[in-house]
Amino acid sequence: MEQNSIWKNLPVDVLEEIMKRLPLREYLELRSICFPWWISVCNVIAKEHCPPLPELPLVLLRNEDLMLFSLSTESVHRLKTTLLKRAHICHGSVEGWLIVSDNTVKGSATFFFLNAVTKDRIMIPSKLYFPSKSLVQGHRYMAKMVASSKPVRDCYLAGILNDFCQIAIYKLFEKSWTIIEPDKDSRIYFKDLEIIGTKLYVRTDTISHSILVYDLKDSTNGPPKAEMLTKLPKLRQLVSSSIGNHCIDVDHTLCFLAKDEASRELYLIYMMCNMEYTVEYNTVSAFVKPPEYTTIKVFKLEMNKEPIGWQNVRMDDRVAFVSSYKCMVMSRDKLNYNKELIRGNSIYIALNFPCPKSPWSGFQLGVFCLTNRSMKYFPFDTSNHCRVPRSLWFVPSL
Amino acid sequence: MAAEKSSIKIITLIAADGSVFEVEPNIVKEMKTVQSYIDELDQNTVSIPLPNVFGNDLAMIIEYCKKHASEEETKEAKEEFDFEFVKRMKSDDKLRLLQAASYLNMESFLQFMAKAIAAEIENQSVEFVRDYFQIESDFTPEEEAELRKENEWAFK
Repeated sequence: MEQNSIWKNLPVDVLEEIMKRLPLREYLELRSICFPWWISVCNVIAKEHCPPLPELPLVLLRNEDLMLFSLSTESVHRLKTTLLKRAHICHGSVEGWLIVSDNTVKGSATFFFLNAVTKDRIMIPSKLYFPSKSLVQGHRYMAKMVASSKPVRDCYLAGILNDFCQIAIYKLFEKSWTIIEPDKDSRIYFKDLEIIGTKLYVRTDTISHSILVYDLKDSTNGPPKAEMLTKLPKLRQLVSSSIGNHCIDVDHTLCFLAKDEASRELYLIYMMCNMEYTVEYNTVSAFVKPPEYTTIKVFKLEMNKEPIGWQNVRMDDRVAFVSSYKCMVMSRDKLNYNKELIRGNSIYIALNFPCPKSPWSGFQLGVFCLTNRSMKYFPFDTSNHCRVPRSLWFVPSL
Repeated sequence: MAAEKSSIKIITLIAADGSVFEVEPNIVKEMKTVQSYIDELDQNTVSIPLPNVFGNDLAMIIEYCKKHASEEETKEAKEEFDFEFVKRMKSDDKLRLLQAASYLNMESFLQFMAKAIAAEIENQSVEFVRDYFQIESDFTPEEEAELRKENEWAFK
């Protein structure tokens, strides 16, 4: 044993040479080889001069269970550790951190960031009391949330309330939340949001169909004021036909805001789909055929052009990950992965179209190939589950 | 000074086990440790002891340097050589060569070895990596369990 352990005390610079060619999960694995390595790897991580290669995003799948879907194994894994309690809801992610709320008390919510790798938790000290006044009746809760960075000082957090008329913003670790509302009589609804740096971008509903921008630093005289940045690219006309309660939609478009964390660029994703479904009480009750994508378009916000506008971009060297609560675009070069694993011209999708009569018919976990416009579904065994999971992309990080 | 240096014809490298290698100056260019030694000396012939590198390893490093310093060899031939070079080595050899590269301050060879090792341990289990480096765990079973929890999300 004594003579065997010559590599136990591998010089740190030599270890670093190996490490910098590996992603985070391998860093943590090397850390668990032996105690001297644990110390060396911890030091390398702490010094931040030798960062790991980027990890592939994972999908957090949550129903009565908590599971992770991995692209490298193309399968769903169950975690032994309890990450979240029943009353916890995930509203979004930023790098490896999940943005979670605790809704045990009605009318208010507490929030925290949870690192899915280290299980570290960072509490938001200020409770959010949902505004009692709203254009929309009913119980108030948070829908989607975004953050400007990992939960460090000067990080901004923002979320759309489920009435789509209010956005709550918060700067870590200040005393209180600020509520933004649309201008009076504008009849605008907030549909989606993303933060880049200190700018909050908000996508409005299909009638006003534009991007508003708020300067989050500007909160000295009340809530930040909206500035209309640009209109969104035109949507295709939805063609809908129905016989009785049986409906067919052609060119139904789903819109998502996405960001590229590394390049700090804002993207817009249009996913055109055809669907056939049955209706009960004015809502979709079951899909006769699962929503089928005909095409997906990705636009990049061109800030340096005058006027500011959208550029339809090719996806050969980029890849997009779409889920209701988090969308992202990444450079394939940066991902540094096996080209087979992350193919070009592909959109990775983890969505759930609500449909009460046959819930699983609206569940989508797969990859859409733009070249031949076909969807490949990843295997997911539905028999062990009662409820359809909510899905959310996140990128493991420390 | 510059003229004198270019007159050096042969460099003698002496490995830790005493074995002697005579090489041309262009071969050791990549070995910065050796090169700085040569630069300091004002002699026509030099003999350099390398107490941290064994003869077998030095022979391999010189073989690699010769191939890569050659102007006649095509890029494809060099790549083919690299592939075969790594293939015939055991994990122990790679680690020793990596350490030697670090000691000799050979940037591109160090990167080449590190890449080869990284490729072999990536996506492997903790047990595999321990075997590879011939290290036995010194963690308690409780610590092991805790570490496994930490790596739970790293699916392979």
